[in-house]
Amino acid sequence: MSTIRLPWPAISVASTAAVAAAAATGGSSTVRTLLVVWFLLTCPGMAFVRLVDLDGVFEEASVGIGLSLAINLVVALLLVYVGAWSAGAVFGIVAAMTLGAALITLVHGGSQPT
Amino acid sequence: MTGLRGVAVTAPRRRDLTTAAHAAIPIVAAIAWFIALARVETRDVGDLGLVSALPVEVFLVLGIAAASFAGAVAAREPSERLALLHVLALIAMLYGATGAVAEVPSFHVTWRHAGVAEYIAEHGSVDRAIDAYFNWPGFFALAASASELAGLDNPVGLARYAPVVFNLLYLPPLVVIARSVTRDERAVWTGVWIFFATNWVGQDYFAPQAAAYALYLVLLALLLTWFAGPPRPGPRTRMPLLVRIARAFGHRLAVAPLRDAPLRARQRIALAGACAIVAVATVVTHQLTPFAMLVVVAAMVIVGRCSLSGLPLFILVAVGGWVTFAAGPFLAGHIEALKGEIGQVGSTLSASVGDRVRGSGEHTAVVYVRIALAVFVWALAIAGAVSLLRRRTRWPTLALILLAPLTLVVLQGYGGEIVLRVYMFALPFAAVFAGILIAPSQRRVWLSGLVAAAAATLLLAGFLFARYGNERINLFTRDELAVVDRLYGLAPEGSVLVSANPNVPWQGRHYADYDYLALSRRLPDLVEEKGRLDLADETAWLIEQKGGRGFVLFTRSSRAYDELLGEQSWGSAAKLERALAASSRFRRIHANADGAIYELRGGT
Repeated sequence: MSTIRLPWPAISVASTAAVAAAAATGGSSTVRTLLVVWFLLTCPGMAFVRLVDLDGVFEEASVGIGLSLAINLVVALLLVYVGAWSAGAVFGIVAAMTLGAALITLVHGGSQPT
Repeated sequence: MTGLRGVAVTAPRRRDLTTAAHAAIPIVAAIAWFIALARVETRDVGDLGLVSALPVEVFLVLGIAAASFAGAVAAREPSERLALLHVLALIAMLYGATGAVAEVPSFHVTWRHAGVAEYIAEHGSVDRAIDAYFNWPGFFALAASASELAGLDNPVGLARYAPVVFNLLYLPPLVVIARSVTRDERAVWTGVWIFFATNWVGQDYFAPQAAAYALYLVLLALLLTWFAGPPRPGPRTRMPLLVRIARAFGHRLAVAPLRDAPLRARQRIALAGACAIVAVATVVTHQLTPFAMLVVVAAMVIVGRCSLSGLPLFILVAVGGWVTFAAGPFLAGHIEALKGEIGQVGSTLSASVGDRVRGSGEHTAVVYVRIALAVFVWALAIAGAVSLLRRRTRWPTLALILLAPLTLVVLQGYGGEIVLRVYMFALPFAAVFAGILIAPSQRRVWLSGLVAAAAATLLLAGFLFARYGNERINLFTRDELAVVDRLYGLAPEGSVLVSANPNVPWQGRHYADYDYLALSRRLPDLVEEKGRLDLADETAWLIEQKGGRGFVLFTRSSRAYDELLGEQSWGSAAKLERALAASSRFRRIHANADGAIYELRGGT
């Protein structure tokens, strides 16, 4: 079975930049909402999952989705409980984690898309 | 095109063309589905639910989609991408239906959840004294973040297509779970398809349960794929006798892990860490799901299907820690009620099943369809597991894990919903076993394909009634929302806002600014105590007990609530409205086509 492996580090970096740009521009739109939902539900986890080097698209996606949800939930909640919650702070931390993981993957050569 | 695993694949150009043509069917079906749904009017939806207002071509489209899927998996060289495309189209169609039809986001609880998230967005904190939501606020903190990042006025803007998004999140772990049960890719995709055709319980809306369920599926997928072997006992480990018996039993019954994926130490540590963070995120998000995780993971460890033997203890400690330190004050006020439900299986089953068989004749029929569909899926699952025996495959211990969520019935009634939740937590396994039974076989392709198509169509027909049977009250109109907005404009903060029942689209904002009161939660006790009630006087008395000004809201869907589910012991929204209209203590201060507001005279 052939397997498509998407270039997640690059996708994660591009998605992070797109969300940051949309937030800086202001306003609301369906595209911006979809972009934010896409970023929060996939990018943090998928940036990390490539570091683990798993086989299988569905296996990668499962771990990536689980990690994304878990990271976002825990980060947002921690900020609420320490009294430092703001959407910008949540995004800043999650984006830093995403970019960090993507950078490590790129530097170490990770598993490249095939 | 990609072939399904385990099926010999040659790749002539003709097969690619045929597959491409076949791929057009689910796409066209989905487009036709949404075009047809655009003609549905909220006011046309009757007591049978959305089905009563659907154009006839919708049923034709679903039948074609089911037959097309059966054809895709019955093909001599089935394509994984084609099967995936059919499942994606099915998710969009089934779970996007309400979003496409609704004038405003549906289901009253959605609005409450949006209100909690809005509170966090506004205050940046939680007030744990308000209610349970503020004691498990993980989902709401995330929703507040997403809403603000998207520039939305209110988190309810995220809700319309939430079921589609959540079901898309469920798809990858479901495929992985199915592949841990069977190597037959036809059965894998049939099982996945059955899951989405029978997940009618409606817990995938804008809610903590929906997010926690995604985490539950991910954890199971992780464990069944990479930690599926028996725990490694330490040199001096002496397990309790019961565990040793269960494990010996499990070993006798177990097949070897199908997805025996060897891990390097680094991968094992990373994936074990992923399991831990997924479990923690679930604990802070939802009250019930960690317990479902706990019983299922414990069952896996006991029967020797999970090598992370410390995980049940980890989940237990996480739950205990959260309940003690974060949700302790809230639980302290409710502990007696919670303790009182333990072991009350009879009353739990009665509240979850028997008490739901009520309401109008058409609604009662919908409830029976739900029961029949659940029984049918479980019957297919049991028959699927038995068929493994007949194929001389040893009974997989996963069949035992299928039963683990049933233990939740012993612990909690969960507001009369526990049976629904148990069905949902067991559904991934039930669907895969059902898939094993009805997946087209390689030998009698035509016959087995026809059986699969018939079963798929039957399940979809049942789904439409079961899933969307309450849409008469779940769908709201713009006029209903307008009357709620008007209420917030008229009522000063701190007022008592009253509704006959909870089925109104309020609390999406001003969650903590008013005292909300659903009479259906208070009047049954009063009618038991006093017998016949003067509804206007009792409503005035309940408002005065709380102090401040009082406003009573009626909407199209709150009136329909009692018509659909049946009049209550104290009366109904319609009777209450007539009583208030006739009373000198109330005056009507606003009305539109779908709602009215009454004010208690003399409130301070």
